[in-house]
Amino acid sequence: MFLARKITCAKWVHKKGQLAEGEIAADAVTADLRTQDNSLSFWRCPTGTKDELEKVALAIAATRDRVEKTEIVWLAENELLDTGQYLKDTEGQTPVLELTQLHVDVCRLDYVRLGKVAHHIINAIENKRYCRLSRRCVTDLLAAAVLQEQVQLAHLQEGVATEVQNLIKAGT
Amino acid sequence: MQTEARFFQDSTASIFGLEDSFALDQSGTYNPPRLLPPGTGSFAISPHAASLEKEIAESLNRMLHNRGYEVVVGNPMGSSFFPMLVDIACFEPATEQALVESREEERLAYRLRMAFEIEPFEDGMDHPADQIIENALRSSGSQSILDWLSAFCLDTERPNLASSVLRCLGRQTHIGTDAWRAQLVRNALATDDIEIRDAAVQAAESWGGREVVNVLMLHNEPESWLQEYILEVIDDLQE
Repeated sequence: MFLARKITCAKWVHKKGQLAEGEIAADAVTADLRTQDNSLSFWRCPTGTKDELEKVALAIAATRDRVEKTEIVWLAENELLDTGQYLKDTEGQTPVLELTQLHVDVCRLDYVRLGKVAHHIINAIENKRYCRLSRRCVTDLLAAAVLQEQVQLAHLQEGVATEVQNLIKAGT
Repeated sequence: MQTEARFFQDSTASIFGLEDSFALDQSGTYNPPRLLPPGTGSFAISPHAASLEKEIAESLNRMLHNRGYEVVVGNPMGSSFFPMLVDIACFEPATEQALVESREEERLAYRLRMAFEIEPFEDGMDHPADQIIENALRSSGSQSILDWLSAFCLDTERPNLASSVLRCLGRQTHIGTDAWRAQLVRNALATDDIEIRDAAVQAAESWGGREVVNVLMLHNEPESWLQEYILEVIDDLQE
């Protein structure tokens, strides 16, 4: 089982001359691992297949103000548990209702456990458990979801709905 | 002349209790000419210099007289210190355009820094800096603000801030000309900072256009994951 989360890969890449090998940029942590109530939001993707990751991307993209690239990293659940993380299934905040049950919080995070999550993310990127969906790809996913009535256009933010609508119109 | 000497040696308008009118900081200290050195760029050499000089001298004399000083600020003292007097008297709006822009840019830089410090940029989410940039472009609309933003985005000393601004610029769909956008993407891709290069690709993806695609096609990206993405963006944009 894997748990996926949106990141910005460029922040996690080691920059020679700034930090030593193996050190994690604070900018990456403060930008991509911003906690709320000491929890981080993740989405389950059982085997890390393309289909599963696209569902995660869809769940996330449907909550956004704009359609933009989406980068996802997925971490092994057992590795998280082995490093003392606490998981809690919670309802995901996404208008794609059938995906809400995929959501899980890594909770009760303290400074040390948050750091361990950061290390897991670095490891995942190094082990190619990272993917990036282009803006066009994200728009396609959203348009398909609207056409398949997985999500209503009215439940998307205006900027997203407009782009999706334009794509649907262009395709018909 | 004693008063004049006190005024200029001490450069403290506080002697006259003019803190409200003069450019003093909170401690009452006058910071000597900030942006108006005599010479190029100084308001003192503008076409309005003579009339403004006269007006300032008259105003000062009135204020001095009201406070019981029997002195006259005039030539040559007035002329010698004219650039500084302009600065002291806060004639900022009337100064040379370049100086006004310089101050606007300082304020814009500060607002952007604060905005990203409070809230990091996140893909897909609106950011307060979007509006700050949009307002700056709307109020200025000049090439200089574009050039300034462009330079800001290429500051490899502050790659996090630079790349964040570049991502926001990418959201401004009508910013600059095709050539300006392509040049910015080209310059950003030429930096050795991965965050700035990544932001450049994202801006290119948002802007599209033949010139931008050409820039992407000519770029040789050392980071494999970004190179893969560049190829994908090129495909998307060529569709």
